Amino acid sequence: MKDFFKLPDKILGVEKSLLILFLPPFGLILLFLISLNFVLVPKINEINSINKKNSEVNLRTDKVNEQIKYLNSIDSEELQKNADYLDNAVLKSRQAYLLVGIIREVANKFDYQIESFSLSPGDLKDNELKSKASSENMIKMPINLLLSGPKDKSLELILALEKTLPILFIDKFETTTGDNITKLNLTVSSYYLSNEINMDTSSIALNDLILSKEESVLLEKISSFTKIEENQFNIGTTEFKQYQRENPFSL
Amino acid sequence: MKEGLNLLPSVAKFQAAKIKLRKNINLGMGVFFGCWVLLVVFIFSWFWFSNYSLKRAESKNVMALNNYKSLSMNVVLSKRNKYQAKLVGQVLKERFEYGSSINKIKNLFSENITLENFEIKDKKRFILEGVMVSGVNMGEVEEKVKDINLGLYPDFGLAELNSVSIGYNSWKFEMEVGLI
Repeated sequence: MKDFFKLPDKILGVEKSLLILFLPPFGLILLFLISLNFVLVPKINEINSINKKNSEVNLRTDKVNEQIKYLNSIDSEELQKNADYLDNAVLKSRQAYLLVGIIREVANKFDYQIESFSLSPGDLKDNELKSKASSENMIKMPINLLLSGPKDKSLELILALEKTLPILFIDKFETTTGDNITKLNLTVSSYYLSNEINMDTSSIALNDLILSKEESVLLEKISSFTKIEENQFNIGTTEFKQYQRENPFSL
Repeated sequence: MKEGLNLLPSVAKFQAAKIKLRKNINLGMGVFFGCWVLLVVFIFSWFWFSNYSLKRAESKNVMALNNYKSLSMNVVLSKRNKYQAKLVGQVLKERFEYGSSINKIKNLFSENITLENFEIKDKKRFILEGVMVSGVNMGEVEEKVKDINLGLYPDFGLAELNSVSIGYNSWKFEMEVGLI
């Protein structure tokens, strides 16, 4: 059995002692290859992934720092003022009565009176569908109005209506002039913006905060408009009062 | 030896060569092992340094985020403003401004001509009725129609005089002007 493991003096014509001489470097190379495969290469991959993560974190930090720099540079009062203007640019409540109140407020300044107004549910539904297609949260509210007032103030009234906050849209315009009285048959609408705004603050980029040139121009434009406070037209809630009368027409 | 004369027996020569070879192999192994150790040290140092950098970057990120959170009011307001400005801008862009159009039409005629009624159809055409005391001013109306059609008024398209009537003490006309 011992002879079975005993190597011959020469293997393939090469001295056995000479071959044994090359065994340690061979083992060393083998160990190196094993360590390379199981330790060094995985470690290098790990380093690469750490470096990648590191650069991602740095990029995120840079973005956050850019935003901080921008947010520190803006005037909080100015920001609040802009927010107020934009809040007032649309109707706060989806009530046609509110819109009539706003128009009445403007009309009164020019001695105009609302003779009649009507709300066309068909128009409302149609406009709602159209506007919903363009922007999810904007709902258009149109009303038809008949206004009468002094002839020489009709243009001023139209200009004032177009420079009012909430922003009013004149969709139809007809005028009839009598002796000194002008009757304006208008379809005026405004937009109601639902409060359900998706404010995902987790992935905000700097561009989501900075107003574009057009948006700044818009803010400048609407800041020159006359703000009509909507709160004064709130109907408010009254408690239900039950009159226990058998005949409702009797006092 | 250098002269090519070697008096050692062949076995001894072989042994000497083997010893020399072992020496070289050991030297090579030493160098190789040294390089290996250096490589291991280098890789582990790099790993440690990368980990350290990542931890530093993460702590900087946390600091920046905390700072950012303290400005959250401004963030929400800025984003809300941007969003609302975009929506309002979109609808305002499509708004037809009657006021400025009426102003342009009113400024078209001199004070001798009074615009009585007007209507804007499809936001494209002005249909207006004017009154003047004397027929002399009718020439002005005709001149304006001609000038508009010649393109001298960049805000208006084609103009057309629909009717002219003479009343008891006044002249009336109805015309149509296209808007650009």
